[in-house]
Amino acid sequence: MKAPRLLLATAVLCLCSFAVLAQTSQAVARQPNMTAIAIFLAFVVTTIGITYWAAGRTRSAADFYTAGGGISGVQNGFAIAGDYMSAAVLLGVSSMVFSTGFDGMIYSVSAILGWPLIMFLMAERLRNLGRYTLADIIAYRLDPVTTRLFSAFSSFVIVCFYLIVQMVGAGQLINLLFGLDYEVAVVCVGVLMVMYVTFGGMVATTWVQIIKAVLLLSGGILLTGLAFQHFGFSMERMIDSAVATHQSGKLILGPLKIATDPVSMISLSLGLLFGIAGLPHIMMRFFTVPDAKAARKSVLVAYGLIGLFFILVCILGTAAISIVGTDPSYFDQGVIGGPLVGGVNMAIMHLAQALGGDLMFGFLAAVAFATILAVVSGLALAGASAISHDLYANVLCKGKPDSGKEMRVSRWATVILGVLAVALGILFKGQNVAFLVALAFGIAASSNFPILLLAMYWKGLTSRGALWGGLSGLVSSLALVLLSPGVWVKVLHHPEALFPYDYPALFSMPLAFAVAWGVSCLDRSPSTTTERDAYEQQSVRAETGWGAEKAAQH
Amino acid sequence: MSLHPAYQALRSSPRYRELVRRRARLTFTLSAIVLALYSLFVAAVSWFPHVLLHVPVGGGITVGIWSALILIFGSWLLTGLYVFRANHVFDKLNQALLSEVQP
Repeated sequence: MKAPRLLLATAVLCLCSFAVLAQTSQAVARQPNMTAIAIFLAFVVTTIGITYWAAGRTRSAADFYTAGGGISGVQNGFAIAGDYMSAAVLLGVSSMVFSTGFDGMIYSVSAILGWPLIMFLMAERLRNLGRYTLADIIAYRLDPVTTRLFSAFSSFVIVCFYLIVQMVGAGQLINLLFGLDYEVAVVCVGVLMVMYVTFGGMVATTWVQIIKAVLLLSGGILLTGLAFQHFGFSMERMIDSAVATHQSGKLILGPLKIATDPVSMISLSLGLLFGIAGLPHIMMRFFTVPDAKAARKSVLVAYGLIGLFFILVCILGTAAISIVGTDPSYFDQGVIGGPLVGGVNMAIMHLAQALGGDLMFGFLAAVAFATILAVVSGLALAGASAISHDLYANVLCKGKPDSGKEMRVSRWATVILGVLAVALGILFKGQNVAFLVALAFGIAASSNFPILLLAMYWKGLTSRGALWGGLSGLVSSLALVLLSPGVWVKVLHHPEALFPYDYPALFSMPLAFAVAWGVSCLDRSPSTTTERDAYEQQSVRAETGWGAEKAAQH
Repeated sequence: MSLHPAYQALRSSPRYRELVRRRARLTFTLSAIVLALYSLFVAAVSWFPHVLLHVPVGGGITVGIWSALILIFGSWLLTGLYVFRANHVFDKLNQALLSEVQP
């Protein structure tokens, strides 16, 4: 088999270039941190080893997309948590607490309370109805061509926006932490991501996520321990010193900037709450477990880990207020209250430096890089599945593809996605891409989520209703974000925003539901009767698991 | 499209109706609890932010922080409750139901 040899060659090449470049790059202020490089290289070597092992186990399309359904509930729980605990959370939420206090906690609560809802309303049904992608569920009883085209397209858009955020973040972070050039860093991430996914498929991607989740949580727990030790193990002292040193004083204990008006707050929370259920890379994890029982267990484990992680990140942000916020050496030109060295997202990195020195800093830096790598791999797999399973196998080949050919298409799709991700990462260099996260969640909550929910729970949904409802949610959320202050004013430099709110979900999500409902009710096409009749069979399968895809035998 | 005989048999079984009814009752109740508590939280953040600043029991932890922690931990306990019920009640019911059609 040629694949593993090629894999090894690429791996060695990548490692060498990485090590050499890390040593020779002179263009940055910060000295490369040897601990960070050592830990990160250890992570890369381990994960490449796993990919090598997984490559031997990835023989069929089912192996590639869902690890043959052979991942256990607990493993999948860690992997889901890994997918959801991105570097954006580690750096972004801690910096939100660092700069505006309780706002970060409001955001955290909103960002994770979607999980119990997924458990109650979706997890088991997803497992019982789905096979490889979200589109499988939407197209279960609806027209396989149009609904799949829509769902693959919206999944692909979400994956691309997410990828841009991760790639730009990776470039900046690695540039700062390891002293690598931005472009080199982005290419490195792209190469490793393509390697994991093309050779190891879902098996490798899952294990990369599990390892990274464990590393990230242990790093978080360790750093939180150090932070508590700094404050004599007193939460009260930590909060009091934060209040005493923050420029907004006691106000940081309440909502500061996040809830300037109720409409924004509600729109943000709707997007976060229901967006998770439309994220293709997270939802496809439910197809990797053998049955509905394992699906339940994975949500319980994942939600526990995610909740713990968000709480830790909030504590660390609070600790950073008084530790990092009072030390001039962490600010540009030593001006306290000015911009942080390396940008506002670096608060938690500086905290690691302050509490645990170079060792802790290096560890956290390596973990942050590993996190980005793991998340982009999950995204690439989801994007590749949308192309090869939905577009190629089901639309082009009408659901009767040659399994070997489908595998080849999925691997090439991953390579193309990798090139695309690197190109987008370089294209968006230096741009403020934070709005893309809100956009990805907004689109997920307004296009994939409403159609998925209606397909599972409403007998009356027809193909036309799903298509028009989903498209109206997709287009309206895109348009509203484009016209919002975050893009229209800050990115495109127009004087005034045409749409006053940064988050679209409050408007675009109800629109998607309303259009899907209206069009379905008015739909008189001949196929609607069969589609509505098929709902009975679908709901029996959703409730009981009778006829659901079984795990592949190894 | 006519219903596959096994689906037909499952759907007309009294056990199926019981399973669907009991599970729906539990999942909708739990979802409603989570959504209601979260809406209260969002309402407090949007309209009564001063309430969140009180420190009810000392230790420096405000009402806002308490409610965030209780929301996160409480809803995790609810998911645990659901898993427990599903493992002990619904799965048994489902097994009995499926054994009606597959000997």
